[in-house]
Amino acid sequence: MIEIKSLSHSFGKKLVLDNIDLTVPDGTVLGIVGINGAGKSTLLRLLAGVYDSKGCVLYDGKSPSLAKTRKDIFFLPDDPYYTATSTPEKTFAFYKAFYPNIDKVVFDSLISKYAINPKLPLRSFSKGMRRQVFIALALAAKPKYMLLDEAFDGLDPLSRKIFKDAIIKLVEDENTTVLISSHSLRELEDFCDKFVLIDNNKIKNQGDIAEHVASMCKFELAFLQEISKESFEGMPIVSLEIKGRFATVVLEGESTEMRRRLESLNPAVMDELPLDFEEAFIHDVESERRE
Amino acid sequence: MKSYFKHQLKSYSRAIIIITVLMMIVSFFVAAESMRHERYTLFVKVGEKVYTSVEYSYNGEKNVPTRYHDGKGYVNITDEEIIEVSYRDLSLSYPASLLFLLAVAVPVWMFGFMKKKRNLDCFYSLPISKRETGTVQYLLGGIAAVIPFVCSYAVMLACNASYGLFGTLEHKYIFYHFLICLIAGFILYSLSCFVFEKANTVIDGIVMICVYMLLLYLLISNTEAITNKIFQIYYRLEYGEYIESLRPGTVGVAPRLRYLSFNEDNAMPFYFFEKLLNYLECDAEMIYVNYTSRYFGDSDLNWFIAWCVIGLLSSFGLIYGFNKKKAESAEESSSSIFCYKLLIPLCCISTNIHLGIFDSTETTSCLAITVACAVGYAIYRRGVRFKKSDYIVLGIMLALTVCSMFTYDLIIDSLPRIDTYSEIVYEVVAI
Repeated sequence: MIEIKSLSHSFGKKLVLDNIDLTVPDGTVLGIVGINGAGKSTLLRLLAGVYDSKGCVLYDGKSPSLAKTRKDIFFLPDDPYYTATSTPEKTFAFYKAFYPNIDKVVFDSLISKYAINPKLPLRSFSKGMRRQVFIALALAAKPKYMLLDEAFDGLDPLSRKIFKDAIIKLVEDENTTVLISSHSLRELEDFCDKFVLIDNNKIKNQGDIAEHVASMCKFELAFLQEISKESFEGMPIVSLEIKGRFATVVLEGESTEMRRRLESLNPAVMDELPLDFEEAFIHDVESERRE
Repeated sequence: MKSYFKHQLKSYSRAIIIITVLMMIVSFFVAAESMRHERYTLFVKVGEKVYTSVEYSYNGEKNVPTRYHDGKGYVNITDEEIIEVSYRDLSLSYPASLLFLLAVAVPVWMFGFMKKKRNLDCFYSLPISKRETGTVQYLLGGIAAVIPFVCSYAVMLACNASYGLFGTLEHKYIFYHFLICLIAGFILYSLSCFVFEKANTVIDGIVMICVYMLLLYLLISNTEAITNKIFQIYYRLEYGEYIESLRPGTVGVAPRLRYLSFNEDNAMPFYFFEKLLNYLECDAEMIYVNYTSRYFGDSDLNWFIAWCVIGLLSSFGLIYGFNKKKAESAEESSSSIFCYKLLIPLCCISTNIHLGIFDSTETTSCLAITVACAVGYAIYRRGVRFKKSDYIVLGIMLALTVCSMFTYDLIIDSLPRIDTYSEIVYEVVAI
């Protein structure tokens, strides 16, 4: 279990994370979301022990500042380290020095699935191919805690699928806890159990992704006359867009209840539209900005 | 740590081998070039004739030529007969110079990757402590510098031996020479690693290594000049008289005792160790009649001890400091107390006082140095948006510059003069 208590971090005078509290149970796949510069990568670096933290981060009661604790952690940054002469094979050998139990079979199988030549230098690879190599390493290391920054960056849809399947299998087999930051929220929605939304240096929202998405509903309405914003007053509006006689509204609450309340406005047509995690995220951030 | 060391050693081994082979080739050609000029052939010159078949023996202090073969038979050598005995150039200074070069270059190679945030993201998250990572790199760097040196040294000795000279040398001095090379290499390497590690970018690191090789010299020569000037003012002596007063027997011992000399040249590590190694190489080559033992004084010994202390402190400081490194600092301005923050004001103030105290015509130089230092400070801060502490430092720099610019005119030039030298002598002796 990962416990984060009163975690703060600044770069000089600029506060990046302020008093973060979070608990991540074992076997959880946690998506860390937020706009650019929100502090997602900084949070992952603090969790990985790259930065010294003000506050407390504990992995099963042990601090990541101890090298011993980091044996259970694999951190994959958004721009991983490799040298001019690094090849997938050499990179595997490098990580083998730190993770003696890293699984060559898993690595080779993923590398072949990604159709990568293990003898070619990484510098000759595209960004996505390099990402594939490091993802294969992370999965082969089979760590207890896996921290992935911008995990889907540069990956094609097929690679994403292979990656997601492998993560799901790893969590099932090894009970690995995965913390993953990404801007591809649709991808996160597929396999993350929980999410954390970071905005303005703080955790603004967290919980179960499915529950969070279900806590909002989106309707498209058509009226016989033009309608104004005032008509929606008193409703738990997350976002509202009006164009003449048409309105698109996202409300916070249970769908049936919201439908009933909207019916009181006598719309000519009312359709409920599906809402995904990405939209929920956008509405969350926008409502936060409005506040 | 062990497995990381093994992995790194394996990955660096190819580069180390290439450097070693290159250094061996260079050493061989240097030795061959020396031989081509017959600097390796022992000869005595008697009158206009040169004899290369020479015998020598150990006379209790050094090897001296005793007989030469003139084509008919051996002739005993007397001091009067010999006009010239060759110097045998062992050329051991070449591998030593290469070692020194590696000692300051290898830290950039070994620790350069630690100046990138991207790389630190990886290394500081791996299950190895910062100290272990740094120590492994430090050890590897040592290996990368020592192996090429040892091999090229062996090549040099083998070349000497192939000319039959090896047997006639003072072997213990060759051993001392080798040992001092390693010690000097360790000191230079540790100091370079230490100051390079204090910088946050590779460029700053290289600047730091260069500055620190001259820093002590600059500070000590300035200090020496300033303290001696103060002493000179204290005794109200004109410069010529001041120098005269330092001559033994001229005046009492008091002024001479107060004259400070640190042999500031020794504060340049390259100069000092080259000089020390040259002594030892000459001692190893001692075969000629009018051999003058190279002087290695107390001051040199003190400097050797001082450099050893600096080397050890650098090594401990480096290893201790690894855990203090922060990944956030990489690629930022080098704000360590060992970097620009202290160096720029220190160099500026000491140099300006040195210049200003001696001459009233150094105003332009003082100003130029201060402006250059202020520009350097702005480069270090990546702009002119200074902090309050920066303004204080720059203010002190400027104030002391202005003071030093007028020191000569206002204080020194207005001091009362004593006309006759005898008055000074009596006065000084009385004191």
